[in-house]
Amino acid sequence: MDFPFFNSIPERFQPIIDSFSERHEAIIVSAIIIALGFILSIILGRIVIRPWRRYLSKQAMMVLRKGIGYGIFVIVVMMVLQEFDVKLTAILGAAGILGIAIGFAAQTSLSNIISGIFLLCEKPFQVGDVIKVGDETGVVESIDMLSLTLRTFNNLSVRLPNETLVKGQLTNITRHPIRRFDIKLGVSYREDPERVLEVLRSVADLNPHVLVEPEPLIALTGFGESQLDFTLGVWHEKDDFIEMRNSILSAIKKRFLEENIEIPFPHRVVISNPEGTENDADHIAGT
Amino acid sequence: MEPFWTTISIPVGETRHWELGPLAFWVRHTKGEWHVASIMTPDRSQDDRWTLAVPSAFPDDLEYERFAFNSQEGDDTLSLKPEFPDRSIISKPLSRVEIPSNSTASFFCRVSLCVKLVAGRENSPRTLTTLALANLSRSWFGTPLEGEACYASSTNAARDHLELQPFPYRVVCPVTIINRSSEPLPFERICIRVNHLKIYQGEQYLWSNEIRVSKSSTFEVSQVTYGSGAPSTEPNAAEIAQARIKVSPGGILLRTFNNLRKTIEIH
Repeated sequence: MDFPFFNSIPERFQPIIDSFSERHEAIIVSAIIIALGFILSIILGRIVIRPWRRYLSKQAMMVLRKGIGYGIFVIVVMMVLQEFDVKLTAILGAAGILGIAIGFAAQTSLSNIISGIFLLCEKPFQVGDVIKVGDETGVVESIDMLSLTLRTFNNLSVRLPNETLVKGQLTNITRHPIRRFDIKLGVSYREDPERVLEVLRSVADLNPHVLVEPEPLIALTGFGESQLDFTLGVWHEKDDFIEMRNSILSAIKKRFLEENIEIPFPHRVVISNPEGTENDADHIAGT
Repeated sequence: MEPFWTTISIPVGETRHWELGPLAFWVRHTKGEWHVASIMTPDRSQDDRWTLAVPSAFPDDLEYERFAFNSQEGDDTLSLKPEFPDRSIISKPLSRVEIPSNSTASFFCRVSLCVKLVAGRENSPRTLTTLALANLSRSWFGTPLEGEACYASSTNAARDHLELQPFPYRVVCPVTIINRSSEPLPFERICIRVNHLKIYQGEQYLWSNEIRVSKSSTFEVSQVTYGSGAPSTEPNAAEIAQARIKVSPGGILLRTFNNLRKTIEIH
């Protein structure tokens, strides 16, 4: 039986085989360049960073490592193209024109890259910090060219474009070693404010997670619609937040119950008008 | 004083119970395992109680730590060793004190210790756990932007050590403040870096080596030197614990005094 397709296979691959035999030297050299480039990027990444480890943040080290990697990649690509006699000047010229076109087409990406550079210089946070951006709160895992990866506390990985971080409000929760947790409380008008202040001080003093110094802020802050407004601001170490919040809120509730201090519900005084006077406002004003 | 920091034998299958101030703990020795249960009472009136190594039942209703290791036959010794807390201690005088220029003032600060439980003979000691012998209150030495996590001393710094009641688990630290600057030195609080202190057993008191803090300028740091032997108040006291970190005789520069209120906006 005759199979023309199968018979023609050697002929079809002949140009490729010929091309390989003509270019085999360039292909082997290119493979060596790629392998060397790969090894060099690993070695340089370690050697260059090691002396700076003490002075650079995790974030800066990550960027430096990536910068070295990208730099070596560009050099390797150019060397490989040269091996195949590709004229780089023409490519670079075309790249300039292409760059303008891409610039228009990829404004968002460029904006993210530039925002990333600003973030790097400004250092509003570092890898490992806990930050809040919009509704998302989590630990900064990595800061990349276009985006930041945040690991939330329920173990989700959230990618946030760098542009969002520059444009919007960002809160760095763990920047400082200690924080103050402010608790707003409403207490019935029947209570003695001095006694409430004393009870709140005692609750703060007895909590093992609350710092003795800086001293807690305990203040009567105003007269609300239905209650006296108090603020208890307790300082704590940043890592103790969850334990401190849970324990102090429970302790306040428990102590208020023990001391018969009332936390009131909102009060509304409703005045009924059974006679159905036409002008209710005048009626109420007159009573 | 009863032998407090000592080594005892707990045969396999037995439990011993201690009450040291606010801390009560039980140690049970089973075959190849040690179990430690502890409970801390917030009641300050319990500070001067101590019951040492009483045979007891192990409290199964308490959570306990379990330590397992292969040990030699008859290796049933347990040592109680004194240890300073894992953080520096902030001590304050009863009220703010000013030390005039070119003057020296001595104070005695009291620091609650921890008890380190070490199982096994001296040639093969195994630390089981370290328990605080007081309710240590957390505090901060520095500004809200930078500083050091510390514990606050529950006792005010005294001018005379006799003002401080002797306790077998509280160390008296003699501190000498030397103001070499041309301005009076306000002393509101002092940070005692306990990592550099040794512990000495005196007749009545437990002592640390002497701390000399020398302030010669308006800069925040002070020159701090630590005595190499027992304090001059009881020079024959015996060393029972070494410093965790040794300091050269020339001392170190540390931020020792702090007036926190100046640097914090509370509203």
